[in-house]
Amino acid sequence: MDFFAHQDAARRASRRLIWVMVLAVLAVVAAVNLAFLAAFGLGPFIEPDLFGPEGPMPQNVWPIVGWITLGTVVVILGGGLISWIGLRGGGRAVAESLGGREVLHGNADADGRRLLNVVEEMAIASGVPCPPVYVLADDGINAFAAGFRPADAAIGVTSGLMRLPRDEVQGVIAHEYSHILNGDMRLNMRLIAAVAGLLTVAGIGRVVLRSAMYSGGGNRDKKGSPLPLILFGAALFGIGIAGWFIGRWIQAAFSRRREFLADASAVQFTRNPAGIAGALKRIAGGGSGVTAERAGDVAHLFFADAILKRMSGLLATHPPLQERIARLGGATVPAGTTAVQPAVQGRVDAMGFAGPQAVSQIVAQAGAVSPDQLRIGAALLDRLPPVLVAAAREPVTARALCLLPLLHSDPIACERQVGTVRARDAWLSGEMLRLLPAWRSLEADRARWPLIQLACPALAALSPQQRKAQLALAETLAAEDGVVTLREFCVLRVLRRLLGERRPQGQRCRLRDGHGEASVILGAIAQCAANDSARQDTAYAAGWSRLPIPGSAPSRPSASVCDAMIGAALDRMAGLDAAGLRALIDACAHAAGADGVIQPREAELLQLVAAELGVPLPCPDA
Amino acid sequence: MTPGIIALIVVGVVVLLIVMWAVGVYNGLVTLRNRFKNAFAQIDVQLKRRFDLIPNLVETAKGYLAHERGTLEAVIQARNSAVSASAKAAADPSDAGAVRGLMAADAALTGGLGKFFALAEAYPQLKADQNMRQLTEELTSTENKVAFARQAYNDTVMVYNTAREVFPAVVIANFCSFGAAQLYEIEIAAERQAPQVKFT
Repeated sequence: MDFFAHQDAARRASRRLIWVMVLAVLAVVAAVNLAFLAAFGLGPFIEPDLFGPEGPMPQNVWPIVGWITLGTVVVILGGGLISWIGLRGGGRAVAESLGGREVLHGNADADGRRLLNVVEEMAIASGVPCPPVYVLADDGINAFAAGFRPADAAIGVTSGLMRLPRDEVQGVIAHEYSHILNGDMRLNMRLIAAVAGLLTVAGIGRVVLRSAMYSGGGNRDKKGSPLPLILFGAALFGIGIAGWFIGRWIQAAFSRRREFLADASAVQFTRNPAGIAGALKRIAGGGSGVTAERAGDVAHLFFADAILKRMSGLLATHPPLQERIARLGGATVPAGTTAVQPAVQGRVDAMGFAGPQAVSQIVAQAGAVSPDQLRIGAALLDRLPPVLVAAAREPVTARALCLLPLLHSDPIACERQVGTVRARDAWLSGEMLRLLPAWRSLEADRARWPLIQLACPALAALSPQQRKAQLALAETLAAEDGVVTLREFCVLRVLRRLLGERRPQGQRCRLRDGHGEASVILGAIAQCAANDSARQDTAYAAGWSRLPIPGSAPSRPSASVCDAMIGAALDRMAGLDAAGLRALIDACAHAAGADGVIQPREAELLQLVAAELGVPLPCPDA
Repeated sequence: MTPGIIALIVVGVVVLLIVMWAVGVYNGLVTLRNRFKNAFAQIDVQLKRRFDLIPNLVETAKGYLAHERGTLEAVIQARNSAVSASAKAAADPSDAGAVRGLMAADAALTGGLGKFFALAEAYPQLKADQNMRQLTEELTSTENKVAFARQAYNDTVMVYNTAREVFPAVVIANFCSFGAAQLYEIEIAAERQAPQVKFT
């Protein structure tokens, strides 16, 4: 099952979630109606003169049922909506709502820095923006990844997890990266809202019943007042119980299978089943409880059971630890060896290959990381000039760093751009000039894109006002010379994502309806792949031939058309179904590699384009 | 249908919606409070760096400023009290008193440094010292970083304070004791004294 199949599965699960929610709402509505009618049907037997001589139940109960149904639906949808509003901030908002404190290089202890290194290595290897890391003050061993897309993802870990040995931390982080890369975070976020709608009802039911009982105790002798309230509270409690069970069941049903997948991916990424199995074994011994108030709402995000009350069977959000350990081979293999079970081994062989970068392999690598890439990521982190790495890790210097890709190589144009920055912020332009020599030394390297990815947590820490100013500055720099080139366009796009701008929701579309868009994207890649027109035509044709579109290719769009249309084309193609996306990425890779090699700048553009289409491509492992 | 039942249902739904809204406001405030706490950590990182530079600065200057011990000691003292104030504020940035304490200690340190640099003007050899020049440069750079982190923090504090002050959220904020957060402000006078001294 590759990235695209997984993407498809996540999309299908999202559709299924809608139906399950409809059923859940119906079930809750039925439960409420039953509880309500039963309560008021029984009322007269307990206290006959409460509602007057004709009793509480009118001949026609349907209007009541209608009102109750409407009320319940409003409550569930309202609860979901309120939760959804809180989630707009992405992974950071989830981490912060759980009380997470961000781990920064500047104030982390040795464990914290090690954790950040593990996260950064994996970000570089997988080609996604580095997520900010938050720590929850709990001794249990647990972790989560939340967000809508890789650019707004956040990873949270408990302080218990930070103290584990490095390979175990790496195993757990790899598991979380699998959630980020496989695109099931978005489904997880929808689940939070759906479950919150149902769980809010549960919480409210408890509160109202308790207060009804309480007030009932005070004035039981006063005629008429407590009974309906108690009955009403009981009715709400009915909703509560029903909503609670259904909410937990939905969480469990959508979560368990993907946990196995993420475990397998963690092994595939690190080729070290002992790491993640070791962490699971420690959890079996020490627990994985998270004390944050809202941990229950997001229980399905966590690495292991976050709620202390161990659920079993239907309602468990996570598969039993023993089974997870057994699947990883941990039950039969002593810790420390790297043997893998055959099933897992198959996945490793299929995707975790090493060796020279082959064009046809690129599409198979999407959304995954191989141990070799992980090694390259770690080596790159060591090899990068320290001044740039330090700059990427702090908000104020990351601001300067992320403008560097927009500077012209022509000294005069570059000087003009720096002058523009100086007019707005003298210190910032000074920082840019300080970083520029080291940046220029990376010019022919594959390290620039990972460096920008590394700056993601620092950029995310800017306040909204600062982000807006930064984006405006970047746009001014890109347009300094009157034209926004393809490269500048792509850099701007990446900055927009990193600075928290939401992309418009892509309309779903199919590849055969998007000839024009596909040809613009391939044309742009071809334009970057070669300097002369003939070879650009070859690259374009090589790409187009990979698309499952019958008939001859449309003629290659001119450079100016590509530059003008690429934004709209990427936006439209982002709504492609999994099969179409797979074909398009494959075609892009073949266009870039038509001359037999993928140059660093081609690889960079390929990663940028793929990221815009929602496909994380790992770093090239050449 | 009896009016009593309809009234009950309507009241019930309204109560539910109010409770749900309250839960939403509460969760939103928790998120915003944690956000400004995290923004404070960014200031804290830069302040720590600044505190670490100052002993080196004083150590370097000692050789040249043998007769100015008072000023040097005042700087060290101001630095030490700022360190303890920052530890207190970092432990709980939502404690407005602790943040105000840090602001005062920080302003005192800035004032002390201002005096120090004014004094250093009179010692050409000190100004020419390579180590001194580098430390000054780093200090200036750190000042800029502090200022930027402070701006980010103040922006997030403003968002939080606005969210907790608007009616009707203020009812919930007060009921659940979400206190007002302290802006990290620098008095204009202190800002002017910031060690922006350029050695030529």
